[in-house]
Amino acid sequence: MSMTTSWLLHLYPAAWRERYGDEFAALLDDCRLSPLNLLDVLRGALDAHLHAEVLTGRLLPMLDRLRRAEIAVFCAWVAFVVAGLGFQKMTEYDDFMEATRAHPLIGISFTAIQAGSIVVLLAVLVGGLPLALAALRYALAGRRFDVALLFAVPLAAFATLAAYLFVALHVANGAGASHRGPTAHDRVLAIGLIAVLILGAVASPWAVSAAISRSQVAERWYRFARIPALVTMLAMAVMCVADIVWGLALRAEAPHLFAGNGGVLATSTALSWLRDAGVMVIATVVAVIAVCRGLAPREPGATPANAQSVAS
Amino acid sequence: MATDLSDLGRFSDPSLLILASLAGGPKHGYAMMEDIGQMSGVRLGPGTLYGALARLEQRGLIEAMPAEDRRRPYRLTGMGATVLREQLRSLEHFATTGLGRLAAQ
Repeated sequence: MSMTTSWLLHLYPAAWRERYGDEFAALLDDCRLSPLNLLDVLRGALDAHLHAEVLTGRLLPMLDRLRRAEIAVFCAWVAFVVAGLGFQKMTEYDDFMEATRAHPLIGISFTAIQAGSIVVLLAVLVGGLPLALAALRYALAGRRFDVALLFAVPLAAFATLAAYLFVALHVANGAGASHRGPTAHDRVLAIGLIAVLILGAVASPWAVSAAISRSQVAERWYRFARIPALVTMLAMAVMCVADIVWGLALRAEAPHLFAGNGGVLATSTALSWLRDAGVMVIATVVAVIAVCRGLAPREPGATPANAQSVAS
Repeated sequence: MATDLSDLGRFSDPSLLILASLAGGPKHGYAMMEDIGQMSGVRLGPGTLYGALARLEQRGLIEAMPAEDRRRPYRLTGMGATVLREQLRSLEHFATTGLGRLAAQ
């Protein structure tokens, strides 16, 4: 085996090499490694990493579909939560709460969003925790520290956010509190806070999803998570509609609030609502597509010849 | 039984070429690449070939035979032959319809 072949082979996952390594190395030694072939091998290695367990028979294609759908719903939920935080921040002021009490449509839609957020949080915990714990157990038992370290990302993101909040509050209080609205100094701190929050919201679900994808998690946990994933998608759809109704009702019933600057960093209420509703709609559409593609029963395909579902 | 390869994404066309190649008898990777090149003019890359081979094997459409030196031949299974037949009939129907329409012009 040439050095180049050996190097290229090591781009593939160990499980894939174990099954196809020798014959693939023979093929690479036989054929001329043109730049196009080299690119093709690189693409093949990426594909093998993305679908390692399916390609090596450790995971049924159906289960892979289910896993990808559940991960997509989880990531969509995280995006939804980030938009929901903007909504929550905007509606915490007294005048918004007063409008919630005074106008039934605003109140009902606001209550639907709050109730939905509790339902969806519980669904994500019920469906996601067993998967995350099973993946963590796999990582620790198999000494897969590359996988175990991924679980440290959400903790690190949370610690970074807490540390930033602590320092920002300290700096803001040290600079002297102003009663005349946010200063330029406060705005910089708040923009930094939003950046840290968004970075954490991107990195955390990516890390947890990658950890679960790289772990051998028992099939029953993926199957168990189907109902929570469906509930999550439905609750997101309800909240999405409720958020749109809330904005339209606010515009009709309390136009002075809608035209005001109640958004984060005293930005336009209308634009903040549009932004949050836009993110919620996109996240909900992603979740609906994932559920339709991954969780809907499908006519069984050809039976895998040597596929074995993970029993652990 | 699924007779469709379209859900294999970018591996659906290479999969059909591999099945057609193995219809002529068992072959290992390099022999398949050469045969497919002669049969269709398509030159499959090594990464694409093995991405498609792994998927076809997982679906039970082809099966691995004992390795000869480092080279492992593959052969078509009964299910693979059925899927190939269905796919080729579908293509034949498509080609006949298209040619018929051209002739009618």
